[in-house]
Amino acid sequence: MTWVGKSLQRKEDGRLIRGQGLFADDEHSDSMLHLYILRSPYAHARIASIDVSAAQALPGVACVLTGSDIKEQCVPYMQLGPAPCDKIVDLPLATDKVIFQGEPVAAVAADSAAIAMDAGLLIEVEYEMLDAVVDPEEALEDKILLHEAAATNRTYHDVFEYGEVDKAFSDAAHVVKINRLHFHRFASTPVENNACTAEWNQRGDLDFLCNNSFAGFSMQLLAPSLRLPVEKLRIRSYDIGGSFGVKIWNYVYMALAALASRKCGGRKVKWSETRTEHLQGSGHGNERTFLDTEVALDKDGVITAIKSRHIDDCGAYPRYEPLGCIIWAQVLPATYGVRNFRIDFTQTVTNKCPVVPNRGYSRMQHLWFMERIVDICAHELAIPADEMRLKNYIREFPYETPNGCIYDSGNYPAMLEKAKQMIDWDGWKQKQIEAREQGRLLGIGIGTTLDSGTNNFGQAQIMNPNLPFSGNSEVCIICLDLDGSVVVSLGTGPSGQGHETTTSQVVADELNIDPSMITVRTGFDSAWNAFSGHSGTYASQFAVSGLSAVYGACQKLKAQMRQLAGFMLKADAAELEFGVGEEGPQLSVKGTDKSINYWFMSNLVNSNNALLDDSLADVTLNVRHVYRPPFEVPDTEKKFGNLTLTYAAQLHIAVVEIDTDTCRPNILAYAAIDDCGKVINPQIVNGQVAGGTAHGIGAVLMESFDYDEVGNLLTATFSDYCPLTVMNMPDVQYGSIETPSPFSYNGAKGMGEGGGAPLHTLSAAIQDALYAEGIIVTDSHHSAPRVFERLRAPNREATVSVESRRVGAQ
Amino acid sequence: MAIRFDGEFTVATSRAEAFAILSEMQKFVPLLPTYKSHEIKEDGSADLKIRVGVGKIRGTGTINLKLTQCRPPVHASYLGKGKVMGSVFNLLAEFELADAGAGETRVQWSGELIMFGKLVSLAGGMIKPIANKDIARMIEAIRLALSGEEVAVPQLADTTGKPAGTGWLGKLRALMSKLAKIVRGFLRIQQ
Repeated sequence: MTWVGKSLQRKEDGRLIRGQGLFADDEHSDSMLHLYILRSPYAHARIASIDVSAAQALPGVACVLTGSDIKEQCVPYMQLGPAPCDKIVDLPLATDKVIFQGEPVAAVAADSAAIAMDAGLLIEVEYEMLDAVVDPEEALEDKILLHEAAATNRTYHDVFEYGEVDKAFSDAAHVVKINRLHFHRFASTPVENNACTAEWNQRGDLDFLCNNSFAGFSMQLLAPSLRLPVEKLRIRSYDIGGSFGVKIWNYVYMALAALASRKCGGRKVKWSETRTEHLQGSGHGNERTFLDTEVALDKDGVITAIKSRHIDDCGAYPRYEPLGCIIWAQVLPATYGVRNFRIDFTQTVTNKCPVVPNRGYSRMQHLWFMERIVDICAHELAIPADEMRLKNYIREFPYETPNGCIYDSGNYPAMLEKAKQMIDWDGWKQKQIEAREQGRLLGIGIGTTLDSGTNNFGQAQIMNPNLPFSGNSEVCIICLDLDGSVVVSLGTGPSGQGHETTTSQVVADELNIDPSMITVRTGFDSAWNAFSGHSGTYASQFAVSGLSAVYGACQKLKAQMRQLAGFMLKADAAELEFGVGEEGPQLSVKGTDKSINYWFMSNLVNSNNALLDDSLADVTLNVRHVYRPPFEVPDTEKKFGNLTLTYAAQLHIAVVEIDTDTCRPNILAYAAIDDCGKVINPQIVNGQVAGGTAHGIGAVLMESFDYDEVGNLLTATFSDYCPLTVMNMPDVQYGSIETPSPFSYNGAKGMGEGGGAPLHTLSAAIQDALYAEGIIVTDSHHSAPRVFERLRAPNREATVSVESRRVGAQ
Repeated sequence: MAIRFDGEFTVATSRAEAFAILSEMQKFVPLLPTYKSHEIKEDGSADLKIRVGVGKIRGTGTINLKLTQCRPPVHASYLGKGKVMGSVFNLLAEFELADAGAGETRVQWSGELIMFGKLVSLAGGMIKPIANKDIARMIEAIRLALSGEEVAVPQLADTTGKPAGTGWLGKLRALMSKLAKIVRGFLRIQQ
């Protein structure tokens, strides 16, 4: 029986559906304290004074923390960026001034959450208001500085140049100029908000139960900031209700709970975020503006070069940034064969919530930019959208991009053809003609995207050569427990991706047993889980890095089991086969009735080892394997090298009609084709595609973090920041193709982020619907009010220009 | 969220009389919208309590109001710093008085209300129309006061979007009021 490739029902679901999951906020004890965080109402203000006396006097209050406590007890978090990022002071509480609305200013630990909140509201903070800057271009003028010590708001700038850009432009038959595109600010809304409990005991050990999704990384930032060796820090999680990258960053709040615990004599302190806090202060996706874009094309519409100026807005603190200033380069040419690029990339801080990795992190913005370019050029040159893509798609794999990334495999034309068939492209084209005759605004759009998985941390050195990160790794421990059961632990700390199920499928195939016979430890515990500094769930990498670690560990375990069974059964290892007998999982000698079951093998190693001789001294039946992808440190000067191991792809087609009365875009049909190489579990892949599609559709039509001119977030509840629900999710026709990756042991590619395919697709469909109205789609958010504004002010003339000439006629 | 406002009106009052009301804290503060109570402090500023309501969010806010510029009888400026339900706001209101002839005074008013914090975030787009309505109410109250007309007690703005008396509570009140009238009428007849 082969389990990989089957839609095995998720092992996690029985527990989760029956309410037997254990989430961070489920932790409770009577002696536990509850933390309330007082946050700044201002986006930019100096803290003149803080009076906590009334809060401290409230019965039930155990302690109050302010910036002055934090200054004494914490070292500012390490900044990943080069100068001037190293001058930025980032602490769990604001000390001298606040730089975004919602920034923590004080914290109260009390007997109940209600008392803590009441006490928090008694804290008198006197602020001196400062002018705020929320526009990234204005921020780059440095008239208003967020971090005075850095002396500039600019956190990163570099030029990514590949090929012969100037020559390509001088040889071009057409040059299309697009003055401005903008990718809006949105994030993920996991069902479970951030939460943790912290207990800093008198021995100096600090124990967290939390829902951080990148523990291996967070520990490296958290421990030094709290002046602790890493071994004093224990991070645990059980079930995590979604992360999408946002929960990588919650260590900032975990530190507050820890400091409160220490101040309260080691009592356990719980912090559980509200939804408004989550939307206001947990972390947003990167907002990006693309300026002065020029596209060179040959006479047939093949894009030969692109130059552009990109400004990324990372909010108040860079934190995980400026990694996003590099990560987009994993998908530099998107799915197209463009060889010449000049991208001038700048990142700035603004008085808004800091950004964090968000599903499709940094690549999604760039892929949207590329798809907008392709679409706008197609419209301006009157080339049908599907033909335009077929002219430009990469077709030969493995493909080395201009910046040295290796696209492992793919077949974009086949995906396009399949999606067209699935949605009935020709039928909709005919309906579109009829609709236009009736004055209806109907558009059909294509979005092709990449989901680059298993990244090479060496790309961080392009951004800051001093960073001690490169390569990637994941770790797996597999053992036969005392009763012979197969137990697997990983460093990944899943947040809904089904790691228990897919791991069981791989191990079951390797040991030729049933997946139900395998226990995959739920969650993560740094005290006993195997993990490395790269461990975590992020960057679409589990199917490759996680399962490769599992596979490697299985090979080591099998070798030991063969050695032990061979000794006991007096047989050659080659004669042994794995399987299930009358006494459970076993190894047997082919063609005989001789066998040894897992219980007895475990018994021999763990409790009965006088039966063994010295040749078996290394047999532990408890093995650890570290998977390390074959990466090299990129050439940091040339910004050249392989940044990612695998490239899954998605191709979506949508049919959209703009309601001419309400301006609301309505999705009439939607098809999604996925290629993530060899599929481990089709049901899980299908679920990930559906989730990613819903997330993207929500971002396009409903979700946007809008700030006013003084830095108030105007969309801080689900009334204004409306996530998509089943009530407004369209039917999605789903299909797949498989182009196995040559770079993973099983042909799989990481997937799950989806690369924001609906953002590209719906923008293209809306563009198609509105082009005849003189409108160029320049933004990624298309709520009804935005479409209304766009319809009132056609922008084509002011946004796009085309210069065409006969090549060689100059 | 910043709301700027300006305009002018003319009142049949002398400039000195108008200025006396505009620059006198005791007389001026009750004219603020949704005024509840106030206390004059030693430094001459006033601590006010106001009622605040945005949709279903209801509470009491506090403002410290200072007369920052006083040039009789031509100019008065107030600066207010307020707090309400986890939010803060700054209010600047300026009044320029000019003789309009025939014993009348032209009052030019301008100012800015800047709000920060949770209330703005939670109430989103509802704040601006409510604030504009309250500013209009404040100006009207000032105009009436300067004209020597009776000033109605400022009420909390109805932000539910329903005409008064159309909710179930309003209907109940209307019904009770009718019943009371009937009972009073009945009692009068009995007397």
